Formats: sequence, C-alpha cells, structure tokens
Amino acid sequence: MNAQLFTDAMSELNDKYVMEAVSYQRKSKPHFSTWLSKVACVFLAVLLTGSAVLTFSVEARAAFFGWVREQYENFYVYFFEGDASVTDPAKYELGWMPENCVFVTSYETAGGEVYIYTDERDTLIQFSYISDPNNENTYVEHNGAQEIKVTVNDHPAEIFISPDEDKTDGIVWTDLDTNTLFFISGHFDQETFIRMAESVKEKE
Amino acid sequence: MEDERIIELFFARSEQAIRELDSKYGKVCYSISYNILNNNLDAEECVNDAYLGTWNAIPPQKPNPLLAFVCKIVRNISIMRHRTNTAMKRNSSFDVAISEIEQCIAAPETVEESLEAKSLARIIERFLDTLTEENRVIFMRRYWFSDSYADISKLTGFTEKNISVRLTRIRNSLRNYLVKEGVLL
Repeated sequence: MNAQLFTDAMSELNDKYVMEAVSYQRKSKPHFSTWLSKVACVFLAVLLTGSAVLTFSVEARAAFFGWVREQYENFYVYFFEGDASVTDPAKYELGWMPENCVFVTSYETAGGEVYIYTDERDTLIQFSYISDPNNENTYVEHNGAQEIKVTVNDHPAEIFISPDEDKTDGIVWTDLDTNTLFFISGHFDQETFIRMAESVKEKE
Repeated sequence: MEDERIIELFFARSEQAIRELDSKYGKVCYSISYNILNNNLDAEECVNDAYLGTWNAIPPQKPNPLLAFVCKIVRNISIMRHRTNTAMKRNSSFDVAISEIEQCIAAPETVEESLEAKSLARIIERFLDTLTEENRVIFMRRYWFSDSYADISKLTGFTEKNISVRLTRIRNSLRNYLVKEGVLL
C-alpha cells in the first residue's frame, strides 16, 4: 500500500468521522476525588505492608539477597529476599517531572513514601519508593503490558507499556547500592520515564 | 446562519450563499488546505475553488452535514494541488503526517492491486470504530485534517508527548488491523 491509496481512502471515510473530529469538545475536568476513587482503573503499583497478603510459590527464591520479582496471576510482585539491615532509611523525591504535572498529595508507607501528582487530563501520576525493604512488597499489574528493559543511572529497570489506553504505564527500578525499589506511573514516553527516574534524589 | 438556510441560498443561486459559507466555515476550510499545502496563497485559492465546487454541486445535491461536505471538497482539491505541484517543497503538516503513516503501512507485499480506496475506507472505518472517541478524534485530526501535534494538543488537552505516544500506538494498532484484514501481508 502506498500513501496515495491511504490518502484517497481517508477521503472516502463516512462524514460522521469528520464531523466527530471537527466538533470534538474536550472533556470537562473532574475533581480529584473523582479520579482518586478510580484507582482500580489505573496501572498502579500498590504497596503492601508485610508479606502475609499474598501466597505464592517460594521455591525460586533460593539463597538470594536483593529485590526479586515473581509473577502472580495478572501482576508482578516485587519483594525483598534476605534481611536488609536498614537503620535509617533514606527519603527520596523527584528532581524533575514534566511541567504540566501538579502535586496532589503524599503519604508515608511502612517502608517508604508515595507521591501523587496529576496533569491537565487528570492522569493519576505516582512516584513511590521502598527504602526499608523488610517492611513492604509492591505489586504491578501487567495484563498484556509490553515490557522494555532499560537502565536508570546504570541500574536495571523495566518499563511497562499498557495496551489499554485507559491505564497508565510504569517504570520500576532498583538502586542496587541502597536496595531501594522505585516506581513511577503515568502516561509518559520512554525518554520521559527515564529522565524522571534518573532525576530522583535523596531528600536533603 | 443555519446550514439549511445556506443550502436554500445555494438553491436560489444567491451569491450570498458563498459569503455565508465562508463566514461560517471559512476558517476550518483554510486550516485544512494550509495544513496540506503550507502556503497561504495556494490555500486561499483551493478554498475558493472548493466554494466554486460547492456552488456547482448544490443543487442538485443537498448535503447533510454541510460542513463535512465542504471540508471534503477542500481536502480533495488541496491534495490534488499538492500532487500536481511537484516542485513544491514538501514540508507541510500533511507531508509529515503522511510520512508517519507511510512507515505504518509499508509492507514488502500487499494486495494493493485489488484494493480500491473505497474498500480500504470501509476497513479503516471498522478500525476507527474499535478506538475510543478521543483516539479516533486524534487519528482523524492528524491524518484527515493534517493537524500538528500542537494543534491536537490544544484541542484535546493532552500534552504533545501524550499525543505522540497515542498516535504511535494507534498506527501500530492500524497496521495489525490491516494485516488481520489481509490488506498487508
């Protein structure tokens, strides 16, 4: 097929598609409370206190020290294998994010923190980390998501691209020096995800 | 003025019909043509040619919706001008949009010989029906209206990067759909 055939075919499309595009009005902006109530619909990492919530095979754990990923039904569980002695876990923050992102709220979890942002399309954007790995697991939904292996400041990372437009994408990586697990979700391209990830810095 | 009233003026062979048409839809018509031709003078000429085409078509035709009818004429005339003006520097928004889609539809083997534009249009329509309203609008604004990412961003409220990501996914989906439909082998 060539571009001319495609262009000619576009000229033959039914008027309703032209009218829909020409008369489109952007959706009105809902309140934060609306989208926050829809967290089940987004591609979201959920931090779980302890490891009692999930039961899955531990055969593969073997003698390993560090963050391990296991698949459980339609999500990945990230848990820390071994005993990490963390006396004073560090706190982190994003050093850069796209200028259209607006801070909404943040809260502490058993092993880290969660920051919630949004943008002009009310996308739920999340930055979270676990710096005290003995106290938390995290899981990431992966229903059909495309996985891309990348690096963040030379640390291994995975970007998840959701096939569902209504769900956000995400990047997960671990800082091997501090045994900290990080997660960012939102509608970003690969370059933006990595730039955000590489900007993460310890709070002063 | 209501579209029905403008069409009545066309039927009455009143030149006021052209003035009303231009007043109501001139801006969008010019935008479509300029996105394709990237030249003010050419765009104005094509829009005027489209008005003449509309004048000749109505009557006997009584288009509904009038806007889509006129937009199609503008687009077709502008694309014809674009194709005939081979010396034109190819840097319009239309060129950029088409180069994007060329990569999507390129295939070593196709059934192009037996495929007509109308048949392909029906397949693209079925594909469009699988998209969300927002993605369908983004696709149409990019590949029918030849809007820039900035224009689509302004219309939809998404960031330009978000538009770029969505269009990449839509093109990939379209390619898969065309393969599934046997258009691309």
